Parts: sequence; C-alpha cells; structure tokens
Amino acid sequence: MIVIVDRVEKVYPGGVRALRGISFSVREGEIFGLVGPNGAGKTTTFRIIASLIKPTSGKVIVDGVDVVAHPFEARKRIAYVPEEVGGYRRLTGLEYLKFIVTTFLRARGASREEVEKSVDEAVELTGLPYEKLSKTKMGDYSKGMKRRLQVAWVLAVKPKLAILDEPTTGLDVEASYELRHLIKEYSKKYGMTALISSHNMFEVETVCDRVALIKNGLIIDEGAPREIVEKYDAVNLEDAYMKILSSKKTMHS
Amino acid sequence: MKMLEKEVRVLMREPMVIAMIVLPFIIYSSMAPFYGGIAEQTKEAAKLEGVKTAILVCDVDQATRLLLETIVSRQKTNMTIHLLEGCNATSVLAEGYDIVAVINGSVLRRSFSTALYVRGSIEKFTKTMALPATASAVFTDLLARGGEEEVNMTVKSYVYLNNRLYSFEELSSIFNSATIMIMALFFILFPAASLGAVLIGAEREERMLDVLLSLPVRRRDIALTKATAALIVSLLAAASAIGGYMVMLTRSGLEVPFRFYFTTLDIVLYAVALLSEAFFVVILAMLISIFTSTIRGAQAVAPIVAFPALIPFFMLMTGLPLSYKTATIPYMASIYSVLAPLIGRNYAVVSIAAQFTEALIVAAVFIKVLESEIAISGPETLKQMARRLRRRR
Repeated sequence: MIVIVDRVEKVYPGGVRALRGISFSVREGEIFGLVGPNGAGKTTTFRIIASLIKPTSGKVIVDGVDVVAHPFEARKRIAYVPEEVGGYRRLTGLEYLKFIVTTFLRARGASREEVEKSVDEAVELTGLPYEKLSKTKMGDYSKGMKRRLQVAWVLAVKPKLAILDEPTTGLDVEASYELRHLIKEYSKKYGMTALISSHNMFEVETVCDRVALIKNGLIIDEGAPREIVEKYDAVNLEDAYMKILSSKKTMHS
Repeated sequence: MKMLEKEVRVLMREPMVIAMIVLPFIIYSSMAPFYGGIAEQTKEAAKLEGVKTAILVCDVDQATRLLLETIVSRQKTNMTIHLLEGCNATSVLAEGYDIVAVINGSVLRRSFSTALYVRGSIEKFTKTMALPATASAVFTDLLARGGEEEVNMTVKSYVYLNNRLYSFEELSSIFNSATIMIMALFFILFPAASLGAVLIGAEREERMLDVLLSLPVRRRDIALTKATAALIVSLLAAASAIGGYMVMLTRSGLEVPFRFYFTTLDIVLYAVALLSEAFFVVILAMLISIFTSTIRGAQAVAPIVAFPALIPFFMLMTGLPLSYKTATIPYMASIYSVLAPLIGRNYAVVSIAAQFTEALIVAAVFIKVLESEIAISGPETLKQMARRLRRRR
C-alpha cells in the first residue's frame, strides 16, 4: 500500500470536526477517488496527506513515510494540486512550470538535464501553444488554462503520489476528456498513484480504480466503481451515490 | 528557475515596485528648489535662551578688556554672559558653561579672533549642532557694535563632546553624513517591509500558497529566499532614493562630506547595522502578512513594521539615552552605528548583535508559523481570534 490513512480525525481550532476517524488505503499505481458533497472533508483529507495541515489524531503514511513526523520527506513523494486554481500572475506559464518542476525535482536530486526534460514534457502536456506559454503572463490565462498547467507539472514530475483536488473543474469537455486520459495513461505507464476528488460521477467512474464515498467526515462506503454500482443495484455510480445518501438519511431518521 | 530568481522576477514585474524604484529618484532630485528654504529654517532652530556663556579674557590688551566689559554689561541677548580670566576653555565648560568664547586680538589693531567652545551632548544633539552657528553670529554682532570703526574678525567654533574636542566643521560633516545614512535606513526599510509583505500576500491572493507549501522546500528556505528577494529589490529602491537625494543636495549647493570621519570600518559597521534592521523588518512584515488574504492587505503591514524605525531618530533629536540597554532595543542598530565616530563602536556592535538576534527570533517564529496550519488558514485564524475576543467582551 502506498497510501495508508488510519483513523484520521481533524478538529479545527474553531471546533469544527472535519474528519471523524477516516481510514482507507491506496495501492501503488492505483487511481483512488474521494467522492462526497461540499464540506464532506475531501479537501481536509487531501491537505493532511499533502502535509499542509496536521491531523488531530490518526496516522498517514505515504510510500512508507509518516507525513506528520517527516513532512519534508513526504513532500518529495507527493505532488498536490489544490481545488482552487491559482498561478503567479506576473510569471509566464513557462516560467511557472520551470519554477515548480525545478523546485520539485531538485529536492529529489534530479540532474539539470532531467529537470529540463521534465519541463519540456510539462510544456507538451499543457496542450497550449508554446508562444502563449512563453510570452503571456498567467494573469491573462483562463481558469482552464491555469488548471492545465497545474495538472501538467504534476504529471511531468511523476510523483509517487499525485493529489488532484477536482482536476477538471473549469475545463471544457474536450480538455476534461484529454486530462482524464492523461491521468490514466501516466498512472499505467509510470506506476503513478493518484488521489482524485470530483463532483463529476462520470469522471470518477471512468478514471478511478476504486472510490471512497465520504460524508460529514466519515467514509460511508468504499470499493471499485463497478462493485459499488452492483452492490446498490444502481444504473451508474451517480445513482449508487444517491441511493447510499438516501439510505444513510433513512438510517439516521 | 530557482526560487530566488522567481521571487525577484515576481517583484520586478509589479508596477508598484517599478514605481518604488524609479519615482524616488525623480521626486527627490526635483525637490532641490524647496530644500534651500528648509535649510534656512533649521538654522533658526537653535535658541540661546537660558544658555550660560563665559567670555575668557586671555592675552588681550587693556583697551580690549574694557571693550569686553562694556559689551558684557550692555548686551541685550537672552544669554547669561560672564567675563572670566583664563585661557583654558574646556575646564570652564566643565564648570557648567554651555558656551565659552576665547577672544584674542586688540581693539587698537581693529582685529579679533574668537574661538567658540560649545559643550555638546548626544542627548541634545540638534541643539549641539545648531548652537555654534547661532552663537558665532551673536558674538560677531556684539564685537562689531562695540567698536566705533570696522574691525577684522575671525570666529572658529569647536564642540566639546564625549571628552573630545571637535571642530564644528568636523562635527557637522559627521552630522551631515549621519543624516544621509539615517535617511538611507528609511529608504531601505519601507520598501523592504512592503516587498516582504507583498511576497506573502501575493502567494495567498494568487492561490499559490498551498502549492508552494506542498513542495519539497524547507520552510526556512522559503522564509530566507523571500526575505533575500525583498532585500535585493529594496536595495535597488534605496539606491534610487539616495541617488535622487544626493542630486537634490548638490543642486541645492549643499555638500555631503563623508570625508575621513567615517572610516571604512564605520561604513562596514553601518552597512551591517542596516542589513540587520532591514532583515528584522522584512521578516516581521512577512510574519504579520501571513494573516492577510490580499496583496493590498499585506501592503498595509509595511508601515506598521517600518514606522517604529523613526523612534530612535526622534530620540536623537530630543534626547537619546546612551546605554547598552537602549542599544539592545529593536531598530537601534543603525542609529548607534552612525554615531560610532562620536561615541565609539562598542554600542554599535552590541546593538547590531542584538538586532540580528531579534531578527533571528522573529525568523524562527515565522518558520514555525509556516510549518503550522496558520500558514494555510492565516486570515481565518485572525477572524476566529477576533470573534473570540468579541465573545469575551
């Protein structure tokens, strides 16, 4: 298992209980989806795994490294794209890619040639014209373009674990399609493990090998999309998700 | 692209930063016509009211002695003037006199040379600098009125400060040079604070803080790289401002004589002091701006951390208590280092060491904050703290 999340709880200083002891594990090379409504705890989970915030209790292990005890070592293995799409408005897309790829790979001890190769790869993965990347500052990029840049660098550095929080938000149909295929391709080709969250059930069903359904800081079900669909006698994952939510509501009432 | 290169590029492409570098030169260099008036006003600053003065009668003939007695008895200045026998001015100053005038010459030859000795004080430095010029004018006037015919007079002023006698020219050179050096401090501190804060505010506003903090970069490196970038760019801004200021002074006909009073060691000491203070201010600005969510909000942090640097400057004008204790207060390093030729280098060294220690403490706190969740939830944390405070009230 490359990712082990063990009974992780998170209570924010204001008293909000974002996670109530979630546990799941992800195999190497697997694409694992985290699905749930807004405020369910997806982003908190991702931020804990990316060592940006600390859990109140529980353990997170990535590639054998405890992210709480050794965050710097863990970060060498993890590339994280947050839900909110950003970018340095005064840098060009190319400068942005150079900065992030260099920073990431140099920490892993990559040579100058390897870094340059990865930057070229990232440039190609964006699918954007080189002229646009090298001359236009990111302040003039659309949300979709910024998103493509972010996913491109993550794939180009080939991390042990890619955390992609809603990676296709803001992208058009064609770009979303391409991106989903790229994520799958890189996962298979380079054995890259990916953690993805999405509100798009079709996306989760097509891309993810396994999914966990999360609500109110708890994982309410977990398995391969097909298994979940069959388990709940649903038409598709979206249908299964709605059935699960309604059954949980009935249980609560 | 390395992190420092990225930070410098981000700053140098900000229109506000370009303005910060270009505008000071243009503004200061075009201020020359107004500066002459200000210089005249500062000359009026020294008042002789309550000043205790002694005229030493030393090596003068009888006629001159009589003239001096007449001058003292009839003088209508607001000074207290006593006529004393003797030639040793410094021993008379030690008795509590503020000014001692040693007059040589003869009314018969219609020629006088006056040596004015002023008791100086770092605690009242502005007065120390202003008294010789005012007193010189008053004595010239008194002697000229006392004689019936036109007399030839030379007046030379000295300041007795910290057990050392300085010629007034020497002391004013130090003062002028020190003023430029103090101004350099502000030219560098304000941009440094602003740029340091902006570098953090921009990360959050541009939604890049999460990404940056998730990269395998040590928090210490993030803090130091951003501080270095802010210092590099603020040095450019300071160079522009000082350049403009020098143009303004030379166009106003004023020279800034650094001369030999500031030795190379003094200048190095000052540069290190400047660096220690700028480093302290940048890190403090970055620490506070972690609680802001926009670039504009971060910019508001700059005055908060840079303005206290004015306090030692005002203290110097009104009364700077020289002690090792005050030398360890933040923002004191530069003032003690510019005063080094007058008060010795020990204070400056202590002050710089203290300032660097304080900067490192703030840096350690900042790195801890970057390692904590506050880095991610800074503005929200601030809101929560405000909410809690309101509830308690």
